[in-house]
Amino acid sequence: MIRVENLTVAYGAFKALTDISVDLGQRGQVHSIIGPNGAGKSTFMDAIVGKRRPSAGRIFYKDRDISRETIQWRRKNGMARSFQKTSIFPGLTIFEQLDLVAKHLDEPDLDAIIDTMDLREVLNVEATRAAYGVQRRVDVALGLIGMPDILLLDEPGAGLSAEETANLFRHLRKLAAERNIAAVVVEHDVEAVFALSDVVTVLDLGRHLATGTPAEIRANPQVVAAYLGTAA
Amino acid sequence: MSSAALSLRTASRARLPILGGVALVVFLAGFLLPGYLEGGYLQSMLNNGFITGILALCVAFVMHQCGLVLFGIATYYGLAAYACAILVNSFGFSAMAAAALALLITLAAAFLVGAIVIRVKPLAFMMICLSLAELMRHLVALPSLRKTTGGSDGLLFMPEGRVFGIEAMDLLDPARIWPLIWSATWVIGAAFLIVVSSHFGVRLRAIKENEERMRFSGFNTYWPRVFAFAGVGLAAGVAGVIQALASGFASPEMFSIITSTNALLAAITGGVSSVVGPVMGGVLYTWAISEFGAMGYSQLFTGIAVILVILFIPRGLLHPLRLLLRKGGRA
Repeated sequence: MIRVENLTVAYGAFKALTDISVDLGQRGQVHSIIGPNGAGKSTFMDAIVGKRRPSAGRIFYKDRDISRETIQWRRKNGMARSFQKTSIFPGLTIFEQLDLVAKHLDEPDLDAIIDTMDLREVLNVEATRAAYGVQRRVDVALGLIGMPDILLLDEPGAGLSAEETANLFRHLRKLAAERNIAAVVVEHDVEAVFALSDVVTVLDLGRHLATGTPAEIRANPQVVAAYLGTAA
Repeated sequence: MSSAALSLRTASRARLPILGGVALVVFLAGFLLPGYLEGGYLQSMLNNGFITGILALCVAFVMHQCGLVLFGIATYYGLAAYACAILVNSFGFSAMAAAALALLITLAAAFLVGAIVIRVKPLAFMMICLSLAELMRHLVALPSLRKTTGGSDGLLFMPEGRVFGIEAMDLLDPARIWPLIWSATWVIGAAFLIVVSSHFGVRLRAIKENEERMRFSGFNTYWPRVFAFAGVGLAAGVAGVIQALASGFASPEMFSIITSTNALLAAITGGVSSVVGPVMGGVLYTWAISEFGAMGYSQLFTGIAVILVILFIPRGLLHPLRLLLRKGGRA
């Protein structure tokens, strides 16, 4: 669904991403992006969703060059994201914010998202008063509204326990299959990634190192040397 | 509509008929007020208090809905007053036509200013709004514009015709203009309340809470705030037109920093999270200035009072009253 061609993103003289080419987002699959700190994972995500303009290269979405399209355009055309640092509306109740976005994006079945993300019991709670795990689920739920074709999640497990992260990934797999959407996940928890992803891409120092199934990535000597080490 | 939406809306609407009934009784009773006030002084003070209250409502709305401190509400208050006076004096408009056109001019001006200032950071927003009001104050006082604006002396005008059935010249009587002020306060308060409770209001608050998330949810985050700003400018313009009709006078001081500060302090004193608080703050603040002024310590005592309110009742004077009413209701 997304084709990245020779993507470079620079901050002044520093290149956060260099000449990356990769295909992402098969429907019904979870595609994870991993790499050590500073690998450029979040910048890569930002470039795809329009938060960062590419310095060079192009990004195609459903065969259309979207390198210059706005964030709003991308969202309205089926590209949603959640954030590394939970990004919700703290002063609104959980229902208010889900309802607001659902109306705007003509979501046909908000109840299903509420139930899938297990939020029904906390709908009347002001988001800022909800537990962190609930806030993470609200963040993902906001991304799911409007029947997106692709959902990009930046470290959805950040701040969660291993068990909560595993649960969240199980939710994601279920959602990807049920709604036939592609999920692209940036995640640090390598074990969760290998257990629950269909495809894994590895970045290192702003460069594309490898893309393959979890088994292929575990066996890749370059990836082992640069990132996995004994973890593999 | 989802079942979640249905249950929440049913719960929040349950008390509406009672609140609506109480509001209707208070609204109707307000028209009888001039008969109970002895002398024009009290009525004038009340009129001024409500006009400050309308300006405070505007400031509170922008603060509550957009998270911005509007430190230049005087721009639209003064602009509407001057536009009305100039249209009567220089173009021979009737009072009603001048008032209507003055409001349109103010709305257009607020829209244009909003389109620029909404883009900037909150501190810059505050400073540009403040500077614009000061700029307008100096502009109308320019000697070269004296023929049109009256220069630093201000502009006297004699409106003709009727305004909502009342002879324009009669509006100089504080008791005769009271129904207009009272109605305008209610209309503006109700309009703000409707906006706050509407989908548009939630959208504004969501932009205030997390603009980036709104953009990533597919929302345009610019135009809603521009429209809100224009609406607030229009509301302040209503106060300006009424003040001009009540005094037959538009003065450079209407643009002054004191006008903007009074509105801001009145909003903070009453509380910015309701429509009643800012109006109550406007009346109390005007009364305090008048009373303390009589003692010769207007700024000193008003300053102390405002500091005490901010320190000990940061959510405004209406908040403890609400808590008391809730307690009484439960008992």
